[in-house]
Amino acid sequence: MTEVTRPPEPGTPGGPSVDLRDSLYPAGMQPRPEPGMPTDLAPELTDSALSYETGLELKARSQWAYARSRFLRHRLAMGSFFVLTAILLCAIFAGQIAHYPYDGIDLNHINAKPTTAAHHYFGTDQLGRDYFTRVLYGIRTSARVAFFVSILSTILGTLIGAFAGYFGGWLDNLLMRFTDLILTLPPLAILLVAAARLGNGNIDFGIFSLGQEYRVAFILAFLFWTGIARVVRGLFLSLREKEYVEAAKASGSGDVRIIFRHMLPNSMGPIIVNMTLITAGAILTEAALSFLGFGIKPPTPALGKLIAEGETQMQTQWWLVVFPGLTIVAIVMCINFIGDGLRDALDPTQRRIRA
Amino acid sequence: MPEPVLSIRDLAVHFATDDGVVKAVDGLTYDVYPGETLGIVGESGSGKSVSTMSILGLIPTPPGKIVSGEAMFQGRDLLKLSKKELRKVRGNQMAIIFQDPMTSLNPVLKIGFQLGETIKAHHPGTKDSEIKKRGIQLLSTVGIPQPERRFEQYPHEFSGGMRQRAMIAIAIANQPSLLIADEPTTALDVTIQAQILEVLKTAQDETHAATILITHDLGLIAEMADRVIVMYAGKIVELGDVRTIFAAPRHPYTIGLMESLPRLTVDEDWLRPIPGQPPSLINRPPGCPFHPRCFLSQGRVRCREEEPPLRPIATGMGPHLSACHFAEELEGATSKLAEPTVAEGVTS
Repeated sequence: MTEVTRPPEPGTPGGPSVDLRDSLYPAGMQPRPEPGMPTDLAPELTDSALSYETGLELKARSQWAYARSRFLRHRLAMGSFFVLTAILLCAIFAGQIAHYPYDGIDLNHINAKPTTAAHHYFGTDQLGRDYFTRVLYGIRTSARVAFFVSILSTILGTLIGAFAGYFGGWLDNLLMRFTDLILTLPPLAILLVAAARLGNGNIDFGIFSLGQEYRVAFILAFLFWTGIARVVRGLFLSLREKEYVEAAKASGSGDVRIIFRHMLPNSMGPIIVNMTLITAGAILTEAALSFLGFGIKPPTPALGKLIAEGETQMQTQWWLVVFPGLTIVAIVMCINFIGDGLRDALDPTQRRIRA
Repeated sequence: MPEPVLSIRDLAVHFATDDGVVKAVDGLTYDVYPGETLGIVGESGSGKSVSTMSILGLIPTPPGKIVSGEAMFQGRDLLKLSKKELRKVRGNQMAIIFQDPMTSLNPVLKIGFQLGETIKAHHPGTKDSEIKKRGIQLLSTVGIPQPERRFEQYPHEFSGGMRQRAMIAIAIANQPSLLIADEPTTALDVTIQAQILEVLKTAQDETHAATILITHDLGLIAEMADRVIVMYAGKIVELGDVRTIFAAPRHPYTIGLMESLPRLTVDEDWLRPIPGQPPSLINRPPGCPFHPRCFLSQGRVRCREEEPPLRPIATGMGPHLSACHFAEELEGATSKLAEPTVAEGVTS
């Protein structure tokens, strides 16, 4: 699909003046150019002259421009994108939005129902902590984990899949059997054991330290890269046979250059889509882990942890479970819809847009 | 005689398949001299492309394997170079123009970027502004109008002919001393073919490169080549000056190829195809590989039992080699492409 703008008709105001001289002479009989005039007129043609010649002006657009316009027209994905952006902005500016610190105690309102009084929109728990605040900070934690996991596992999976698919042979075998090995591990058992054994607290790297949530993130990333590795390997297996890859080889490009410059850009669509799926999966898994008590340790709020804490009083204080739960659902659904939209947008064979 | 740019001796390339070893190229020997255009012509599967791709390390190994031979290029044997050294040759001193410009350009990268890639790959550290300047200059050399604008465009905004021009621009970007054009016009329609041939000639003039032109189009050979190699079943069956080959072909296969072309000057109801199929390269017929299809062989024992060597033939028209035991019997044969076009009597 290309944007088409028609130039004004010749002879109309604003249009090019009609010059009949060209059409009066049969082809090849036009008056010879004066000596000294450039014989090759093509570079002299201006854009408007060229568009007049062809009648159409084609606007040059890259693959990404097409994808962007398709995504922008995908209503469900765009809606989800705005909702997710709003949620994330709330989380980022939690300090400005929330009226309480996340571990602050309001003794006047203990076990309060959701109310606008004293700004306890999501109610309070049995210690009088504002749940709205805690959910906001919980989103922060979950989002940090999710983005870290998706980026780390995408990079890892892409690298492993790309090298396996491009080089093939024993390297492919080695890397893919390793991938199979990771896939055969029972995830929950591994996660629980790892979370329990790796301890908690901040990870200290000397120069900088990461919050405790990154412990969980590392474990999740280690388990989540396999899907992407397989997808990327499959893509590379087919891309490897493309003629432009052979042409790149013939022009002297090295393996690394071919992988990263020629083949990776051609596989970005599926990689990005898988990345969104991983993000959603990471949020859910982190919530499940925290719910089981192996993820984020208090007092840092995490969405799964909040549900776990509220679970005991669910009969009477429903808001303790419902709000963090709904938040998780909203975030994950938004991410999945965005993933859908991206898949449609990045697939050039898909002309029609769903939703 | 000047020093050859590329000198291939006794090259043999085999492919291991489930059915057996395919001898795609079997004992190939030829030279390419500076500035000349060497045409390689033959049916599909005769080993035209494999012979050139293999010396650049561009055949998949396995299943492919270079069994023997040497390929001297600028004083070095290409077949003995490491992968890394070979990479420095590819696209730099030796460049390839591929058959299908529609699939040989990466769809997600701008033309300018892909042009620049070739330059950067061999001259790392070239400034981007310099690359752009050179790229635009290359695009205008190959006759692309508005090169500044085209430089920033993607392959899908180019027509087929334009893309092949861009491919040629990429091939000559580093001033190669040998250009390999692997069926450069097969994927294009006839009017564009003529333009591309012009561009190819311009490119040759610009770089003074020797060219190997691989094709199955005899018309293209007649138009472009200085010397011709006719390949059949992985071997050279005839080699000579383009005029000699067309005026006095001395191998029944070459005559068969030319006879199968339609001609416009005479009202022909039937074309004369070469009977039979190209031989299986796994189970090659003994003796002359062409003898089962040959009008000259006619069941002669020598054709069946003794493989004919490539030997000089006196046609009185310059160096001429043919691999036929009975080449002399073709005395007086000429192709219908040569003027005047009378080739009756040689086919039976």
